[in-house]
Amino acid sequence: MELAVWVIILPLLTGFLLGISKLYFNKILFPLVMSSAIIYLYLLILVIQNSNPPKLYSIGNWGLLGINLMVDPFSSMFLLIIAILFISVIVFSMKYIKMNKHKYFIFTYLMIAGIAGMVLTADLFNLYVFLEVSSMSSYALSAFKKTDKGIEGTFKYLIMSTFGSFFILLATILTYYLTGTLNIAEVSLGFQDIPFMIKSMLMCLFVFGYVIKIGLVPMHAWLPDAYEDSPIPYNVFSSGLVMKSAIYALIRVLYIIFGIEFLSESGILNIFVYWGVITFIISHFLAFQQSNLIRLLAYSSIAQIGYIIVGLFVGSEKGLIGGSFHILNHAIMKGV
Amino acid sequence: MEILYFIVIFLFCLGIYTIISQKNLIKIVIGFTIVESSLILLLILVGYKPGGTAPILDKVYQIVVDPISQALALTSIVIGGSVTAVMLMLVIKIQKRYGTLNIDKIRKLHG
Repeated sequence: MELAVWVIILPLLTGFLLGISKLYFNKILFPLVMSSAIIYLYLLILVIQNSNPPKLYSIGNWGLLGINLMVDPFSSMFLLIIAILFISVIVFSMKYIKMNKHKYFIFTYLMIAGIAGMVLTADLFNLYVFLEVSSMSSYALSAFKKTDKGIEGTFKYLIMSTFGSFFILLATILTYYLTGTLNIAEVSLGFQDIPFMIKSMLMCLFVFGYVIKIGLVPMHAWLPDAYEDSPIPYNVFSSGLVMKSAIYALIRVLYIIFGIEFLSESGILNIFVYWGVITFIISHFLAFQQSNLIRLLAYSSIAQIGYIIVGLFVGSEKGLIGGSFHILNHAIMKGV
Repeated sequence: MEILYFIVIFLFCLGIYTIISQKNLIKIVIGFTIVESSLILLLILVGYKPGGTAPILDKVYQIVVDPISQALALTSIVIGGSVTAVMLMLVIKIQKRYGTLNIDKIRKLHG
């Protein structure tokens, strides 16, 4: 089978094997987790090295009718972030998690599978499905310590994030209605004949859905509560990967499907630049009043997301490169 | 035929209104299932062709309904069901810890 498919399947397999091994062999946890982590790192490095001409894998040889996976340099930057964060989180959480170890690792592996699937896909509905898979594991992990504050924070995160997913699903269904296909490249071809008003309405729905998951200012309210009482290795993942994968999906949808001429005509680039600036100004002011260190770091995360959005949506090529580099910086810094 | 699209819009708005305005936690979860159902209904409506039958691969049936949207609808039903299950599990935990299901009284996190 192709290498890229194994990047998605291997964490799923490890998760299920861990679940089975809890019943039969209790002591196999550490060897299984470490060996699977090392094999996964090796796979990721192989996939990243082969990614410079972008490759397209059709699953099941169905061609353009079925699901396709695509590896190109933008995806491989996210795979690099997954590789760096993954090994450090696994090593750290071996010592940090003292009870319910099997459950914790199963959820972590499922979340990695979801994020890897989201980064590698070239299909709109597949993007939605893997977004939901990673979000669901993220909800389960953030409520892992069963304290009062943890459960309340997770509930707020759950409600706001699901609310955003509904708009993403609505926009995906309307895209399928308009163009008859779900492959990202074919949708961008089919979108050239569609009138301006319909495209701008679809763009508003997509942007609203993804911005709730990213954490720009009016919709950031779930971030500090979800961070407050969740296990610390999960905090590394959550600010490093979950929100960044939503940014990745937003960039794929906006820049490839809608095209750069439509974006600059409709003025959404200006709105995003102002929105990013408002985000980091307000979030830095809110961070001054905090007395709890974890909430301070959460507000700082929101501010960094604001910087990234400003960089990505200025509309030139240097802006995109700068924004992507800042994604990598922020992920590593929050991890450390 | 157009009245079905109006029903979808009506259900979607009703579900969002329920999520925003209700104070009991279980009613908020019910609002989520209403929105999910309306989106699945939209997905099935998109694939309709007038006069078409169920998508069976046989030479007798010439006009068939689109099968891809039915597969997507099945996937959405599964996702919606699991999200509802996770929400209800959290509602049970909140009821045990806080003793109330009123969303105004669950405010231990500040700032």
